[in-house]
Amino acid sequence: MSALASKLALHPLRVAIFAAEPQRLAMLSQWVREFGHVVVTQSEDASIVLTDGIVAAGGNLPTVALGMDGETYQARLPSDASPEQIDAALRAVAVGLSVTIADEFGGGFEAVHEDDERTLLTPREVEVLTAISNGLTNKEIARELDISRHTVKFHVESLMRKLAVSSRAEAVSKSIRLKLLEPYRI
Amino acid sequence: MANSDSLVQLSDALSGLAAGARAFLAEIRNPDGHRLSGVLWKANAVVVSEQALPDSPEYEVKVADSVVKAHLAGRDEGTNVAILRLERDIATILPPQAVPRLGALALVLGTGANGTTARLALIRSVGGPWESLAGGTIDHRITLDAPVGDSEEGGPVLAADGAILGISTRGAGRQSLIIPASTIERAVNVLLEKGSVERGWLGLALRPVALPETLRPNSSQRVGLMVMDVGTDSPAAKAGILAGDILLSAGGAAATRLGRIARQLGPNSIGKKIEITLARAGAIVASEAMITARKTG
Repeated sequence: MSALASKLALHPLRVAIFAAEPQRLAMLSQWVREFGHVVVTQSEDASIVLTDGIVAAGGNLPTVALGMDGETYQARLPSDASPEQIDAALRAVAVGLSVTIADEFGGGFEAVHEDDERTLLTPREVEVLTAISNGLTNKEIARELDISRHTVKFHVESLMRKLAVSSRAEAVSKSIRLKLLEPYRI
Repeated sequence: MANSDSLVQLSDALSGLAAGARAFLAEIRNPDGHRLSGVLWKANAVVVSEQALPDSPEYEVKVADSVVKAHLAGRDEGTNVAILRLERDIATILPPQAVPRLGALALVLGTGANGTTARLALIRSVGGPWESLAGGTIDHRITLDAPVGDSEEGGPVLAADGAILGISTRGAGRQSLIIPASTIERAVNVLLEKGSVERGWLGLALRPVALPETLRPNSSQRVGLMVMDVGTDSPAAKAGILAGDILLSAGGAAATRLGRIARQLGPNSIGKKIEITLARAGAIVASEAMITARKTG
């Protein structure tokens, strides 16, 4: 265990929790206790503040704020943040980091994603990329698609050039990130 | 002092707009205490952002000084509109509806922990119709240059003359969007009547692909939509479409963009036939599919 990890495990945080709704306060308190922290009722006893919708709850203490987009806090999470996200944010803020939700996890009402025509793969390249992401070797891909190993190599090189990647692993991770193999259902 | 006078006038105009919105700005709560914003669109119906609305057997809606219980009338993921039906009518007059102009000011209203919230935004872009990932067509893609907070989402966005532009929502990457009033108007009537908005369905899973030269139906079409999967007993399966086929056109439109095909599967398409051309094994094949209703859920 790293020095930091052991420090976090050995030193539970003293968390002051604020929420406008009593039920929400009870739920947040339960989550925070389940992650091994101590819930305190006075800000003076706290090392960190967790607040749901109440402005300026903890004075100068580091604060994890839920559902308070417009304000400035060390951590800003959506109001439906998971207990794990809240715990991770508390720990991160306690050691001086700031936390926001990554766009990929932020959701939002999305438009149909239209790919850039210049880097669009050919049908064969889509098949080869699918096979690569299933862990197949060039030899196995050649057998499955009934083409020569030389042709497979040609398609692999072409798709890696289009994706601007230098390894098969990078091609797979980029195709996941760009949702290149995710079909649109109509 | 002329300059400061105009600043005072602008400020007064904005606070006047915010005060006037009391008559239709709705605060919605569920029993968990979750709070969001909405618009009293009709005396018995409140519009909210579908993605922001948690499931609940009952909601509490507050407009001005009235508090009324409400229940979900229906959700339309496609346009991100959900409707709450009020147990008791609240008299309202919604301002006239309008499409904003690029660069115009907009007042974004909502509810927060301390009551009504207001943000001044610029209309950052106004685009044409667009298709959502969930299969809806939205009349204009309108973005705002102000953020929209969690509890503020679904509140009204007003133009300087008081016209209602639509409701605020958040797109991918936390972009602030407006669902235009005209799109909401269509969804409201259908949701109140039927509880859901039906959309056409073919049963195809598609991926855009670059067309090899030999498969191009004409020199200008360089993109097609590859069929990755065909739903069992779907209209596409009945039309003989196979995984691996490449869709070249549907309903006369070139299959170069997913949105162009999705746009042809609106609520009015159900029960109609759609002509399809495909590239299969190096040849171009024509087919026809009968559009059915997509199962929602």
